[in-house]
This record gives sequence, C-alpha cells and structure tokens, in this order.
Amino acid sequence: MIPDAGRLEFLARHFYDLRRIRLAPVQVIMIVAPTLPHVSRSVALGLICGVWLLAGGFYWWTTVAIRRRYGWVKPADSDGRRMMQHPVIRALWIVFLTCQTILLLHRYIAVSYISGAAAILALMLLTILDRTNIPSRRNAYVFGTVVLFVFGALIPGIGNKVALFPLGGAVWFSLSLYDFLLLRRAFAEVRV
Amino acid sequence: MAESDGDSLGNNIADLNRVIHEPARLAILTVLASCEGADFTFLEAATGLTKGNLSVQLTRLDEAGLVDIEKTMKKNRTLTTVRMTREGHYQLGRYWRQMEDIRNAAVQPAKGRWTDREA
Repeated sequence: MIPDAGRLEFLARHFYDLRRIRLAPVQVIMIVAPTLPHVSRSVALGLICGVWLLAGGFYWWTTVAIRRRYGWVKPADSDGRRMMQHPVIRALWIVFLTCQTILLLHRYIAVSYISGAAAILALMLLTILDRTNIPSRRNAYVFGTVVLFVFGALIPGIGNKVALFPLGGAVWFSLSLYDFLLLRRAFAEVRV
Repeated sequence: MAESDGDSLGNNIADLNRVIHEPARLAILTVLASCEGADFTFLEAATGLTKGNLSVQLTRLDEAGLVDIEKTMKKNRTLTTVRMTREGHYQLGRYWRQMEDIRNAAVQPAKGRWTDREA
C-alpha cells in the first residue's frame, strides 16, 4: 500500500521535530528539580555531572535506535528558514531581543517575563503556524501553549520561576511524547 | 469545444512522464521533494516498500536522472543516500501541473455534456 502524499511530505519535513523525546531526561529534570532536597556543593556537582552523562547517553541511544528503525533524513535548508521568516514569529523574536537588551542594560526585571513569554510563544508558533504540519499536531501545540500560559499565570507569585519550571518541563515532555507517538503511528500506518 | 477539451485531455495523458506515473516511484519522489536527502531505511519505512522493490524503483529513477544515489561504507555497512536531482524537481513539478490540467479538462467536458442533454 502506498501512503498518501500529505503523510509522506509530513514525515519527510518533520522527522527531526518528531524526535524531541530524545531530550526526555532534561524534561524530566525540569519537572522534578524543585522537589530535590538541598545538598552540599560537591554532591550537587556530582549529581549534575551524572545527570548530564545520563542525558547524553539517552540522547545518543535514542538517536541510534530511531536511525536504525526509521532511517535518516536531511531536512531542506529552506524549511528551517521558512517559518523563521513568518511575520508573527519575527515580531516575537524582536520583542525577545529588545527585552533582553533592556535587561542587560538596566536590569529592569519586569521585562524578563515579557521576553520569556515572547520566546516561548515564538517557539510554539513555529509548529502552530506551520501549514505543513497535520492539524492534530498544531492543535496539540495550541493546547500546550494555552496550558502553559493559563496555568503559568495561575501559579501564585508569577516571579516564582521555580514553580514555572516543572510546568514548562511537563508541557515540553507531553508534547515530545505526543510527537513520538505520532511518528510511530505514521510509520505503523504505512506498514499496515 | 468539448472535442478540443477531449483532445487536450488525451494529449496530456499521453504526455505524462511514465517513470513518475507509478505509485511506488511517485511516493519515493514525494518524500525526496520534501527534504534535501534521505537514506534507504527512511524511504523503506516511509513508503512501505520492500527492500527489493525499493531498490528496483530507485534504479529506475536513477537511470531516468531524477535521483542521485550515493553509496558509502561505514563500519562494514553500506549506507545508501538518495537525493533528488534538479531535473527530478523539474519533472515532478511538471507532472503535478499536467495532472492538474487533466483534472480540469476532465471536469469541463462533463459540464458540457450535461448542458447538451439539458438543451
């Protein structure tokens, strides 16, 4: 059975995006980091080294496993640039860079939230506004963005970055897991 | 009018690139048109073709100058990388335009016949 052209194009264009599960250890660390007890500097250093080794090992292992199972694709250069040139995403990056500049020059803390929001929104919109993505994936990212901003705003004390960290990690992990399941399903349907 | 549309439909169908107008090869070209290049395993997984069939279809596409096949050795394993050539991009674009023309030509005479019957 030959799959439809839309599915083939989606797989070829977004094969790399759909493999973000390779960063799962970093996402899990973001979720559990605030719950970790305070430890001495030397223990913390050891823990950080161990975690980075684990994350690197997991990244390498999943990259090799996915490559063996599904192969390899070199994405088109124009594909990466295409979405970065979208007017909304360009505007958000300009907001982000402006805020970062103000922050660097004046240390005016309120702009750090605007710059953070602009960066997150720009990253999410890269997927949401991309018409080559399938509708369910775009909807999942819209849902993730809404969860991030609504629950992020509800967390008591918006300045509490520690509380925002696990929320960001949870949303990122959920979307990566969804992407990976989508990748598996797309290939499985071809094989039926 | 309907006759000339019929002629144009016939000409367009006869003019279709037979190498591209085959589902397996069209699937391979669709994947390759959406990226810079892909390896044999990805093409196999994405198109659902068997190794043998994929190999045959790639050879046909290579012979027609639509793809460029590069084989390298890594740890005693052959890595096959396939890229679409400039000619391949041109021919695939032309094929889709022809298909669109055929679709349009097929719809227009049907409308004409309906009007004739009504008249």
